[in-house]
Amino acid sequence: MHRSRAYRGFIAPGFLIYTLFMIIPLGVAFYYSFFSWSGMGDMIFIGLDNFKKIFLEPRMSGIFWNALGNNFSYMLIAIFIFIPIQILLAYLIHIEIAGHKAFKLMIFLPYVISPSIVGFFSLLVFDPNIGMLNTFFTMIGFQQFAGAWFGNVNQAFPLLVSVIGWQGIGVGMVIILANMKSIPGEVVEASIIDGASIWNRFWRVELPFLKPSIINVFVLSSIFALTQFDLPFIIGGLNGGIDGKLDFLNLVFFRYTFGDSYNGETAIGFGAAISVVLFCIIFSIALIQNLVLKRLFYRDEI
Amino acid sequence: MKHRRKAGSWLATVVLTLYCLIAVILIGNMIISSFKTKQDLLFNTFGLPTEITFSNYDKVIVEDGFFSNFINSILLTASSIVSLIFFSSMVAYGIARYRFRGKAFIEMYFLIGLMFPIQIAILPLFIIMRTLNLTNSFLGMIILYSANMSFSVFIFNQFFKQLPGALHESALIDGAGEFTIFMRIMMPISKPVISTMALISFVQIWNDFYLPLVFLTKKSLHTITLAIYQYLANFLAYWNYVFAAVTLALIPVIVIFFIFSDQIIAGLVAGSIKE
Amino acid sequence: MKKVLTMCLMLCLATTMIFAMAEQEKMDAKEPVVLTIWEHTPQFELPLKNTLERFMELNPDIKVEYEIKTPDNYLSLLTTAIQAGEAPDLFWHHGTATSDMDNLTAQNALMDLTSYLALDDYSEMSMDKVRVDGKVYQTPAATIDTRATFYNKDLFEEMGWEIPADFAEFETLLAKIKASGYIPISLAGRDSWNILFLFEPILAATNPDWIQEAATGSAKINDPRVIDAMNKMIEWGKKGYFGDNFLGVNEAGQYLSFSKGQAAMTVAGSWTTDTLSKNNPDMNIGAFQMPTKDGRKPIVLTYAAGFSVYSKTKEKEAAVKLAQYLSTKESQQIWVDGLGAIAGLKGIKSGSSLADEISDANLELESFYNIMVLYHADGEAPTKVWEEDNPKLLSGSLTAKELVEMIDPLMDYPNM
Repeated sequence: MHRSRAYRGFIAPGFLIYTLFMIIPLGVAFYYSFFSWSGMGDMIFIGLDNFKKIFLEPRMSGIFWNALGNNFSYMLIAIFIFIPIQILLAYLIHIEIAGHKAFKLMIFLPYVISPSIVGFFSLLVFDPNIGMLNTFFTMIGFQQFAGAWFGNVNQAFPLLVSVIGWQGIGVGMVIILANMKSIPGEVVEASIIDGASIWNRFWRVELPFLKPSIINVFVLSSIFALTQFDLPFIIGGLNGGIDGKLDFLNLVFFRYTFGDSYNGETAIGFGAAISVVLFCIIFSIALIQNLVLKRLFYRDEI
Repeated sequence: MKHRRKAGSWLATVVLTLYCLIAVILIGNMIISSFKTKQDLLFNTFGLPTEITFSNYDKVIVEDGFFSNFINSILLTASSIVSLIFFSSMVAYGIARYRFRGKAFIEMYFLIGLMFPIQIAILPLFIIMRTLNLTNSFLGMIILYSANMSFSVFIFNQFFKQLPGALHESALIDGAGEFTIFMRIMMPISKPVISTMALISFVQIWNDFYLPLVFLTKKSLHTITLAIYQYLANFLAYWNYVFAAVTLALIPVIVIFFIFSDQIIAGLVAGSIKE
Repeated sequence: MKKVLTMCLMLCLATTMIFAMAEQEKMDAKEPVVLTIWEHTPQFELPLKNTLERFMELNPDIKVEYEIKTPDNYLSLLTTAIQAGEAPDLFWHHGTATSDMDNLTAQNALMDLTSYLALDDYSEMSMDKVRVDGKVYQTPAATIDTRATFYNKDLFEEMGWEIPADFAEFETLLAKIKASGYIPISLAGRDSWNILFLFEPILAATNPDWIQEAATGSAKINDPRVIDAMNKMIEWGKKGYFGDNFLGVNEAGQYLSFSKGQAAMTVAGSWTTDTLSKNNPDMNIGAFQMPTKDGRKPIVLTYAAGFSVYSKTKEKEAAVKLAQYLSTKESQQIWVDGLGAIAGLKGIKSGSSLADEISDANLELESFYNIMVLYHADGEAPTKVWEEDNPKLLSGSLTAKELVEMIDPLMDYPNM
């Protein structure tokens, strides 16, 4: 790394369009959060009242914490279950188990299907009356296994997480895999000559090389967990699924900002406040992760 | 790197095969269903068609002009990816390879775009786009997708960071300019990450319906996802067409995935990192 | 390989830019008057298309382009466009059924159409949806939206089931259907709107007197009669009348299980008539209103609303012309036919025989939802609480009493 003014030339063009088309609109939205405003007509300055409502009004705060709780549960699952699975999958493909090429394609494939279509699939699979699963169980005579699926308070959340995982797990896998491929061949070959088992080789030799991609996937999974919207919305509906089990912060945001087709209430001011709170949470988590990860991984380089 | 395959790896093959069956069944069922009549679909949702019909494709392609949506999607996605990768890799390169004051801030600054739901910013964005006369224009959409660069900058940044510093030094000694180094040395060795990034952004842009919904209101500019979304919004009336439309939309994605996954490997075989 | 790929992509980029510019130029060129009109759901595409085609036939100098949005994004798109000063010349909205009308008129976004439209034949109820302080801001609709119990005629005939004459018979029928292995009423237990469209007929059948009182603001929402109706719905759920796993069903699933013949009946909005008949054209579908205890046939009526003209439209003359056409009987008939809807205007025939069966009733009642809209206090909307929490009645995490006690403080009853 070196000092040179050249960095300005590299950053400037991107900086300009990013600032004009992302940051300024977001900044304006930030400003709305201090107003009572439906999106049209007069904006009334109300200071922090929108924020007070989120945290202090019993009904609203209940909805807020429930949704945040779901976001966090999903984040923990993404970090502690999905990431190890992604590393494992990448590794299996990397060591070229039988059929690895097909697996790489097939595991990644669901990601290219748009969420609204995945939602459509989930209707075909999980609908209690016409869905594949219940039809199948009834057909083979195991009616007792037929269930309400997303209508079951205990199953809804794990099911949703599985569907999200099924759709998105391939991205992290591809990122980690690209990293694995860049591990210098001689390092690995040396360890093979040393007679290390596959397992040992993975832990001692290859895993340390994967730091950059694992950090990437870690940070991105956390952010995606906190901004989850599409699939919960399509599968659970705007009201957050059964007993709010499928409610996420972005859903709360959308519900309160834009209402829905029948209920024509928009509340841009209050919605902006929700997104500001969401932003603060994500930002602090990203900061903390940044610090912790730097300590854990880049200790020697600082 | 070839290894002898052990029992454990065969077990993994079996488990993964079962797992992949989910996608095969769902997508296979979708393709089969696209040839069913509506009546067949209703009573024989998961079986083979009792009679094969092309009427769904006829309606989707001929009547609803799916191909023009298709061309719109391809033009828009391809140009957006090129533009996005161009801008974001430069930004990431500037951040990762140079030392300057406020670097940590700039790094965080470029992540902010990931932390807000884009919907909240839609009104100010609309006014900006309107003022610049960029609504109902692909150019406007390309700029928007390029501006949505947080994810891409992040990935490129992590990649450039771990490249050895010596690469740059030696090029400087050879008398190459900064931009030449970037284009001639850095870009070629970034092939794997570029193809990964291209693939991921392809999926995101191809599948995005919110921004086109807001900014491409003319029917002649509609993208594939917008067209499918219209079918899905009135799901029951159109559910036979949904299968045909989704099948048509998925084919290029799969084809492109095949091309790019070879690209990833090709880029790696060159093994430029070691040079 | 790389070069070829890069070239291809660059070519794409260049082509797109040229396209974009060409598009721009086209927009600048002089053309005959072009109007843009927005509708909020693809369900209304067919009637709108038919209506506009006829209008353009009559007015060859005007070209109307319609844009169909999606329901979940419509309002945010409209709000954005109006705030940016770029709304379409005409657009649909809810009228006074929600706060749309207040917001839009407060913004001066709507043109006052009072002097342009001839609306003498429209009923007071449909005019109420489009009028504020005696001024008309929107074309009224001739379609009536109501709820109905749709039933599978073939199955009823085969099993020898009869259309119930009173509420007790209706409950006996439910038990009979359940016993024969069919789902009596398919219901999307996950979607609060579908629950509303079932709850309103139950309320109308069990306690029509509460609705009549509440419509004038002289009965409270936490009245025992409302709780009684909610408990009836919960009881049916527990008895399996909606199917064993109805909590996991969504709107599409509700209609599909009816169309497939798994469910003998479904209770839904009258606007689904067209969808249900098209979904399985071979099925003979009938409809009736859930009867009261004393055998009356109540019907929950709400009127739809039409289109407003944007106050800042650049083509005022043409836009008014279109609004005038949209309020003629001819265009209303095209619309009603296209939807298979129930007509609510003298001289217009309903769009299907099913619509006639639905409107066979002798007791007109206000909708429960509208009562909450009419008499809400300032602050949090009671409808919001109802929407978010009514599925919890059926899942059992909230009792009827708890729900109405949450809604009651948000109401402001004029005659209490």
